[in-house]
Amino acid sequence: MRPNPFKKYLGFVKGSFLDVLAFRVEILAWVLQGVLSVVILVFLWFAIYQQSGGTSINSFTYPEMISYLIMASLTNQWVSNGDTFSGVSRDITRGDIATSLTRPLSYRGRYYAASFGSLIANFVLFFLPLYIISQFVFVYSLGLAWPLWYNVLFYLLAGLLGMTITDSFDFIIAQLGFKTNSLFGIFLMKLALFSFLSGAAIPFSFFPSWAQPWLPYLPFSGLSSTPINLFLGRYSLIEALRSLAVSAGWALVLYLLSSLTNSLMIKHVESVGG
Amino acid sequence: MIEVNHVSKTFSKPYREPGLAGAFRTLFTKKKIITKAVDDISFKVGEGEIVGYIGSNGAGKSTTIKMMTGILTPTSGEILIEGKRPYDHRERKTILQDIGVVFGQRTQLWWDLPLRDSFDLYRDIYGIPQDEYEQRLDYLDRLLGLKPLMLSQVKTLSLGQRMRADLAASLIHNPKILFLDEPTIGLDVLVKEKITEAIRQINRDRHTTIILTTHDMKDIQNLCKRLIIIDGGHLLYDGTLADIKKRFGDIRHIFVLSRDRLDLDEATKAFAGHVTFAMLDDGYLEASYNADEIGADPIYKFLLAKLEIKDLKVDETTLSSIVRKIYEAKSL
Repeated sequence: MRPNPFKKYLGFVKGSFLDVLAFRVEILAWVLQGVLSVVILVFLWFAIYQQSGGTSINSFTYPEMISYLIMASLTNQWVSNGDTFSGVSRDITRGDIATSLTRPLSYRGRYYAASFGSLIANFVLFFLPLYIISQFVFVYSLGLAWPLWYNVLFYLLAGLLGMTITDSFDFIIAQLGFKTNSLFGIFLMKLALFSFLSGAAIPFSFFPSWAQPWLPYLPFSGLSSTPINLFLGRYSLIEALRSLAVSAGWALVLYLLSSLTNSLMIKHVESVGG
Repeated sequence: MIEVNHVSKTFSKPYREPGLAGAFRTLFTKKKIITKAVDDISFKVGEGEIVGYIGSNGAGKSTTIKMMTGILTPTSGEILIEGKRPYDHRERKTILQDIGVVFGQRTQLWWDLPLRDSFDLYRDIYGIPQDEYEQRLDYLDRLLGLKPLMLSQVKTLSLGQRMRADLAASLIHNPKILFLDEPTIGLDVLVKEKITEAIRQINRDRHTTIILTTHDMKDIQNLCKRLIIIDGGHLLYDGTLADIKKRFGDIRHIFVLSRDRLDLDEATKAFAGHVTFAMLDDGYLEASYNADEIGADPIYKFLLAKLEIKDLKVDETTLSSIVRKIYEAKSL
């Protein structure tokens, strides 16, 4: 009897989906914090736009800027919210990687499946309701148009690729736990760096002109900038396809890289113990 | 079934000096400390056996178990489980369906979810058909009493409940071999009994081969016919429980509580060394003798003549007293 190779990972998708539900109160607090920081940003940018005099700054009008920032916060909610980093680092400090080797499944695949499960949970539970409210605000209060169906599709696809990118990064970075005890500091550094370089904090057009041409080609753009610009319809079809290809390329490369570090880590565990 | 051939495992750790200056010096040295956790161990385990694998802390038990389950690779030698090496990436895949592992100090259950979800997860991982899965859960429920726990989050279970669940989770795929690394650690007497009874039952019903490490000699006495003792990474003993008892003789212990003092040297002389006397910490006097050499009658008479006795207990050789002797002597 050969078990279906995908079915066994489905259990982890389901498990981590349920896991998110089990922590709904904690995550609700997290969402509130997100909403609060968006409110602060809205006021901040309102002041900036009033001061500037013109209607647009770096090709963003005020409504576009606000929708960008709200979408950045919402995208973060489902794309970059997996448990891989804390899970892997916990397994390393507790030595649980060893025990996971006694079960017939891939350690990397298991965490990817779990991230997929929490992605679905976060999408349904937090992104969707908050997005629907935001969309009404975009249309009726900011005077923006309803999103086009193919832009929504692009957005979802880009978000999925973005999740693969963060998840692989998290998986690789967490393995530094074998070398250092200050993993939490590294995690905070990673968060700051990612939110800056992914365009979640401010759009790429606000960056210095020398940085702007190559920022979209870094893997980080796949987490925020690419999906948000696709959603807002700021890319031409060619640009859209190119940015999706960049994200897909990085997602593939980083996933393979994380699988490689995974097998290196397992070799390490096998020779010196967990 | 399981073959362990001249297996050794060495670990090398960077050499760390104590103190601040030492810590600084450590940064610039490549000195390493090599420890040999397991040194040239060989044994074979046949199908359906229950083997107690014992040794003092740091003797190399867990290292051996980890090598047998494929978590660690031996430095030299070879381990074969049904002819395949568990630590080899390709061969491992075929073995994992056939082994179950419990580490008493770890859990393999999904911490924040109801217990039932963890079992469902393992059902999917091993691809167990639903009807068979339900049957196995029923069977394990009868052995370990799982039904009342199924809806509780794993993190809310007591240690005893969690251990029962962990044991069940390691059996859900009907493994041919079960490795138990200190399965009764920290458990109360009732849970221990439940768990040892379940292990015995599984061995009887399914002919599961079981390798068990423990510090609790009662577990061993209740479960194992065969015993492997290691110390300092070396194999000290591999044989039956009955044999080891025979080798150490049929030692009996008499414990006496009295206000009077007994001259221990004089008492020992009176029996020409056939009886050893010792004062225990709890105030009891212990007289140990080999029942093959001397009867109980003269000892009782001697004690009654010398002491006003408030309490008296008799105990036969316990495995733990033998094992204590072995650990102290580091040899057989």
